[in-house]
Amino acid sequence: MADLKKLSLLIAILVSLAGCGGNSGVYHDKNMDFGAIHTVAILPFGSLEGGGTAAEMVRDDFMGSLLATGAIYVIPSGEVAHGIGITGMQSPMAPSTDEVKKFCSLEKADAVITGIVKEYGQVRNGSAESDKIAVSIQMIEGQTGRIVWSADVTKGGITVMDRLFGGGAEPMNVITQKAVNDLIKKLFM
Amino acid sequence: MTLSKNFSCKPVSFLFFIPLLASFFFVQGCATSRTVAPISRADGKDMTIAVMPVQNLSGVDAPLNRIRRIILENLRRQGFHLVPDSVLDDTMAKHRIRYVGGISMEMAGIFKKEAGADAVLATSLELYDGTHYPPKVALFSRLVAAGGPRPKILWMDSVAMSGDDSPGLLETGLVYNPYVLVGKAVKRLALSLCNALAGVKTSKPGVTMAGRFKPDDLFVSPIWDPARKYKVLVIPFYNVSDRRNAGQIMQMHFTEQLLRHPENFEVLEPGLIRHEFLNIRIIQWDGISIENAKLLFALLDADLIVTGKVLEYRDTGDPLVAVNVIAIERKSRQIVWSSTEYSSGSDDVYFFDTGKISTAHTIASEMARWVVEDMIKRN
Repeated sequence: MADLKKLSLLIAILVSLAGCGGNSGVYHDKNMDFGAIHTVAILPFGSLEGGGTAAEMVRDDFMGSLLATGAIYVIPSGEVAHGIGITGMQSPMAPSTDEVKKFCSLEKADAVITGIVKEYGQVRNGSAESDKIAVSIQMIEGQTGRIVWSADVTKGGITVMDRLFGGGAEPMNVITQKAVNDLIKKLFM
Repeated sequence: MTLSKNFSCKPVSFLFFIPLLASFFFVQGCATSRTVAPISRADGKDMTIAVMPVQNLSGVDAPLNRIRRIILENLRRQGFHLVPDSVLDDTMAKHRIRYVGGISMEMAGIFKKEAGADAVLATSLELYDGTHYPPKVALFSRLVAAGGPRPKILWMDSVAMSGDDSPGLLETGLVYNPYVLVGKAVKRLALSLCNALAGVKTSKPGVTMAGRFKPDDLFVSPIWDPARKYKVLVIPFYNVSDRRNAGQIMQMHFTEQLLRHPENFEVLEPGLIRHEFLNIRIIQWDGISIENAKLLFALLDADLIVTGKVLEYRDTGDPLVAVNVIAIERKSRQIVWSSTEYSSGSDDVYFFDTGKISTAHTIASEMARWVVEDMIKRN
């Protein structure tokens, strides 16, 4: 009886661990043909961190990395700003369906990408401190205005090793690059 | 204990000191050989140069007149013909010329006809810190031909120096006086100008471990043709950093590096670009739009626009530069080159500050050099 209890506990742990391995924080529209997306516009990211250049830094890094894949052409940020001005987009961080459609037809973009930087900077826990980034991002298709892909990522922060031994924290640019690479992997998986 | 028996003290012959003294004086002689030798008039010295007031891109108060006087002294010492200050002041006042960071077509004509200048020397001060130790200074300078259908850049160079760059033996090489540092920087620029006019090709010393300036992200479009000679407009970068004028500073860095490869790029004078920006009222909002890029291509007859965004440009503490560079091609109206880079002065420095960079100028300059050299190499 005791063996059966142990076995069922083990199975329960294994099942819960297997659940952790899934693609958490990613949504792909199953009906969407991502191969049809050749040109995207990355709209200015929002930041819940207040002032500073956090949103600009992450957006610029994401633009560069996405362009560097060679799979998708990214419209220059100056042209995106021009398009936002012409279409009269009220909030580029959260555009309406109509605004997205209008913008995409003007800029000849297949989709737009919006994003929010939720955390960017140092976090402290007792004597340990580290840099941390948390970003969520979504792709909205230009013809229908539907969200076809969404992902979020968190990198950095204080680990058990940091707490125990201190130091070892990575610089912000390295963490940002890792977060951006993770997002791009999630887009192409 | 017989410690002394292990150490025998032999009398040293006086002859031993002779080669030592000789080598000491020889090394002293090396230092003086670095002074600039006067160059004959055939080496461009018959040219009359108008030395413009120094443009301040440092974002702080700086002794611009004193820096200009140091420039004038150095050029006179080299035997250059300079337009007298009274003539230059009168010409500038008469035509209400206030912008001193570049030469427009109109300005070039005025300087040629009214001041009798063959070329104009435009100098920009990027960094000046004379209140803290070590003092720091960074300068850009370029010589622009005043005649011809369009002002052409004849020479451009830059220099950045910090008082503790070369501490030397027993720290005798430390510089505490900012004007001494300005003098050294200007002397180096004057030497570079002399060499350029004499046709002597010199390569600027680079930073060791140049691989550390490799961009984090790099995109090269299949449209990019490294074999082609591009006519390039380097427009001010869009600045989102806290550093004032960082966009113009990056424009200078790329202009300088592109000019080092005349066989691959023809670079337009920044003063001409500024003039067109004002003429067609271009205001950059998050960078250049394609519509404005098309106008600039047509008006200035260029093939490529190099621009980007400055995210960080920090000189205090550990210097830091984060920049995104894009190149937009005329025919396709698309980005054909993009690179993003983030670099600090202490990157890849592990032992005794070896390889540490003390100014953002040097980091930005090396970043620009890496991008431009990679643009040429890529195939």
